[in-house]
Amino acid sequence: MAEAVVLHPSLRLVGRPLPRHDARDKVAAATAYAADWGMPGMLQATVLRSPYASARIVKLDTGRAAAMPGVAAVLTAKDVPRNTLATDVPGQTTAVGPLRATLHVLATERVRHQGEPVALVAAETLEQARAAAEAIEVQYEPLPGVFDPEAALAPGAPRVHEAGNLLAHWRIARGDSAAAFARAAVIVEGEYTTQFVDAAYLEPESGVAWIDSDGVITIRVSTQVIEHFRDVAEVLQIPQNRVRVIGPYLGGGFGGKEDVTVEVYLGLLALRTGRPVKMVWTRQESLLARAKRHPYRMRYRTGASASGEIVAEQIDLLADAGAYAYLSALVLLYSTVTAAGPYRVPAVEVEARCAYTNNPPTSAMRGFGAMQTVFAYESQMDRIGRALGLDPVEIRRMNALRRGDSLPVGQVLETHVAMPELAERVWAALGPVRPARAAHVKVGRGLACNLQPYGRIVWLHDWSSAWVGFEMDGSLVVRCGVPDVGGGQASSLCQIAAEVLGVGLEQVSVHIGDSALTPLAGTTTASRQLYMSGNAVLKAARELRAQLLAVAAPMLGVKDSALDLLEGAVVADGGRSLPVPDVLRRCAREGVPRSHLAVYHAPAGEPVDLATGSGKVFPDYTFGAHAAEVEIDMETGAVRLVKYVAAHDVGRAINPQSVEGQIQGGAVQGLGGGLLEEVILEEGINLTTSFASYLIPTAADVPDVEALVVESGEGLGPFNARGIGEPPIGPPAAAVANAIADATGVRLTRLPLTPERLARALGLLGKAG
Amino acid sequence: MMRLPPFTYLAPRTLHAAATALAEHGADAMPVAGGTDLFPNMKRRQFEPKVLVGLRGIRELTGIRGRGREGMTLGAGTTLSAVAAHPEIVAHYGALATAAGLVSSPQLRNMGTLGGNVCVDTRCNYYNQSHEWRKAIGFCMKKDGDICLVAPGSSRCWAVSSSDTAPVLWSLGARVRLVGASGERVVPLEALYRDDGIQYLTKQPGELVADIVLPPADGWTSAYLKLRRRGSFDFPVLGVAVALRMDGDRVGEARIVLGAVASQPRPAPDAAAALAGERLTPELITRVADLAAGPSKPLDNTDFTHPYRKKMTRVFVARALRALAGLPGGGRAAEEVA
Repeated sequence: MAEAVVLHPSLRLVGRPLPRHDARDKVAAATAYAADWGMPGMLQATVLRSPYASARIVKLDTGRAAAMPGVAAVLTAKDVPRNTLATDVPGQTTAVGPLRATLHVLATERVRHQGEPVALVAAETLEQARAAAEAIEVQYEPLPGVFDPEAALAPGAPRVHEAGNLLAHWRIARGDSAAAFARAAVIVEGEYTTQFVDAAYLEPESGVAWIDSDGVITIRVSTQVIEHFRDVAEVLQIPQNRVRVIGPYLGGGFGGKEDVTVEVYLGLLALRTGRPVKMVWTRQESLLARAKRHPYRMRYRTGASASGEIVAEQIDLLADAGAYAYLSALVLLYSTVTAAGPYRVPAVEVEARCAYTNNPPTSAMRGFGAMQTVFAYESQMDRIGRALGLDPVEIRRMNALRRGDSLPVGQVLETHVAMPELAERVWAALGPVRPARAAHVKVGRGLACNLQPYGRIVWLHDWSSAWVGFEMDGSLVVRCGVPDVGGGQASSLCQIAAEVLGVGLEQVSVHIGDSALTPLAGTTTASRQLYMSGNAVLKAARELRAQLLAVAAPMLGVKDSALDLLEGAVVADGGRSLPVPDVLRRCAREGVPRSHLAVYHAPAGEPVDLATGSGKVFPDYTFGAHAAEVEIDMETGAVRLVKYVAAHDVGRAINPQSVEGQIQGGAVQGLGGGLLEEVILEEGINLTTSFASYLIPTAADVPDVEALVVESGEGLGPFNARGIGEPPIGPPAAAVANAIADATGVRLTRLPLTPERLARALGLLGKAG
Repeated sequence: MMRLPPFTYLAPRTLHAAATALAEHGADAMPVAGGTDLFPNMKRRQFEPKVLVGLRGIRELTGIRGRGREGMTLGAGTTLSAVAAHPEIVAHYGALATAAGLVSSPQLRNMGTLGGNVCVDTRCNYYNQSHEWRKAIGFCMKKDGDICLVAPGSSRCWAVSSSDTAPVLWSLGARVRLVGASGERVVPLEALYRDDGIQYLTKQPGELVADIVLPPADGWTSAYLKLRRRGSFDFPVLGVAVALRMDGDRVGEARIVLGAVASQPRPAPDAAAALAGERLTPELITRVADLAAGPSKPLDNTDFTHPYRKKMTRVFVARALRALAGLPGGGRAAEEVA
């Protein structure tokens, strides 16, 4: 059992479940989200999208649309100074080459997925803009498409991009797996399939752009990445310092706002018209065409000794990248690195590929490739345990990674690995088994563990910066370019600064998410923001504290090491104190800065060759375990969740309330993907473009998620915190699938775990399978 | 968000004025009560009325009158929440209270009306989509197009009756009072429907459902079970309504009506006939459930495939009967969700 390392007993704020400043604002409807912004003379903009999944644009005539009442601009690809941005991903093991089109602004001669943007319209009113978009004449010649990654990689498949359909390919080969399999007492093989999933945030993609009085194109947009000002500049072919992105509080991101959304379109239209422009995508647009979570086909072959030690694993992953690259290659990398789960496996082979199709693009979504694999490796683990008569905790206890072990890529785990204690804790927390309440009901329990990287890949040389300063009255200001997606990113920074500088939380103002005015903090993705920006704020606050104490020491006639900052005063050992404003005035006279700008650099490294297992890929990992109890209706296949417990080692909870929120929210989102959610496509045509058909769980559909916040006191973040944004979405689907298997003896291998699939597997519909 | 197209809104104070306005504007007009289904459909351009005749200001459309013993009259404008909570309905027409309480979400039940649910538009995966989406696939015959995308060779529309209350009211022997500009008539509820996804109602365009009239409940018990993927709120992809009048320990009379398996509620008369005069034994229940599944012929144009919905018809009919017979293994409507 991980025992929390005792923090300095004088900590006043860190570790306490304090109400967040942004929570009250949101409940009171005081938060001005991106779509809440308005400006005088503002135009309304809309996107014309492709109705086809694969077609050639034969004719594109905007003449009639441009002449319609109220229309200020109609733009097509030829109006875009640089229409395609591409990037390379270092470290690919095959010569797949640079990625094609991480950002493709508007369709040129071809459309590659339904809903692909073809033209933009800005007009005085939204109705005028939409009428004009409908009046744009586009003639399409439908082309053959390919809608499945397996088919896309077959010889002769229609090419989504000229260079071929293989987008990325990663490989790991560690140990002699053939020899290891030969020694295995039991071998379990399974094929697992996951589906397209939508981020389904409350707040659709939205923003307003204007050219400010200094000529800078300013875009206030719902984004996880204000650094996209660079992409906007590149597309517009203007200097990067002429674009400013302001990122207000978000109504959810989940990775769906990691790529560029509306900001490039807004920049183009503002530049063309010289007027403020607003664009808000409808829910239907968002569900139709925004990047989804990658569907995976995962083949696992796992060998274990008679006593239960995993000796070898062969893994083949194939993901659907949709029509454009976006972040697919990196998502696949995460899957590759985590494919064997939080277990010691001496011989591992992983082949991972993703292919272009004419489906909607797929990209980042909470878990980022490290979550699909959980469904596979935890199903396998359960099956091996059952084959050998070991209970779910025991099989995991025998194989759990420990500190000093290395992952199949060769990365050595340097911090505490909270396995198997997390598994033991959630399993125990389920409590005594309840009897089934009716003859047609069976009860089952399932366990699933996971590991999820936090922080970006080490060869991306990640950094974050933050500025912390006192005003003359002793109030504190934090400036940091974080986008706050709703996880409490901003308030945690306040808590850290207030802790170090001895002020109350209410005395801190925080300015976030402005590429012109706040120091850049990097993306709110990869469970990295508390880790990275928390460290930057901690560093800035500690430097500022030292500056202040150095000035205060002679004023109080003591050494600065004898001083503390408490409740707005510098306090000496003997009880004497100076109000902070007095010290600040002395700083001003002496020319000592009352602020500090700090940059935190994450541990960095060079690209590793995954195949030969040569080293570090991620800074560190967060471990977790979830346990579910389900009731199965044996006549209908309905699965009812009765109890759900989730535990993660977060190193240190800066704000336990926010941590619990992340664990509960992640678990519920994972349960949604496990049981309900599926983007249904027929030949690339999306049938689930409203919340009447794309079903997400409501509060009435899930039990209370019991969050166990485990603090090992080890982690790379401030006060030894670990990232917790993504990890909780990993285990739910596997935990439920394992519970279903426990209750019924039937294993489902395809997500979502619908009652119809279970009914079929139970043989209720005539034939099993 | 999607926006409503422009329309003129009329707010008559009497049924007669409403019917007159509907007659006057003909095909350009539609009535609107709670608007919970109509307005989203208008945003998707599934309906494009130029004139909406609002029914909310018409007092004679609201109110629940009568007692279970002598029969009840429910104003079509009564909200689903009010129907679900009414003690006399809960006590004597249990399936109706259940069904009304399972329509959509609490917020929408506070707005949505019984009349609206009885007349609710049929649904289909290819129809309940935005205008742009439907345009992209070339539209379907229910709106703006020529063919059926579910059954391309078909000359008719297969959109699915998606009312929770209609099969229940049918099983209870309800009648409806229809009011038009030139008079009124009372017809059995089943006469209101026909098995066509487009022309699913037989009432004249100018006619309004004014009241739902329930016969005396003497001796009848009823149950409604609903299948849907998400338990909290969703349209039915199968509804099973069963009403029984016991005669001692034998069934005197029975009605079984299925929802969401055709373009109208679908009765199962053979199954009901097999119950008459019999004791509700487990063996009989199994036989009746098999018979009831016969008329269940869903197409794959909703959530879940037709083999599953057909199989669930059997399970739900058996459960409803067990529940009414007081046998173990009876379903509870709130749990008949998958």
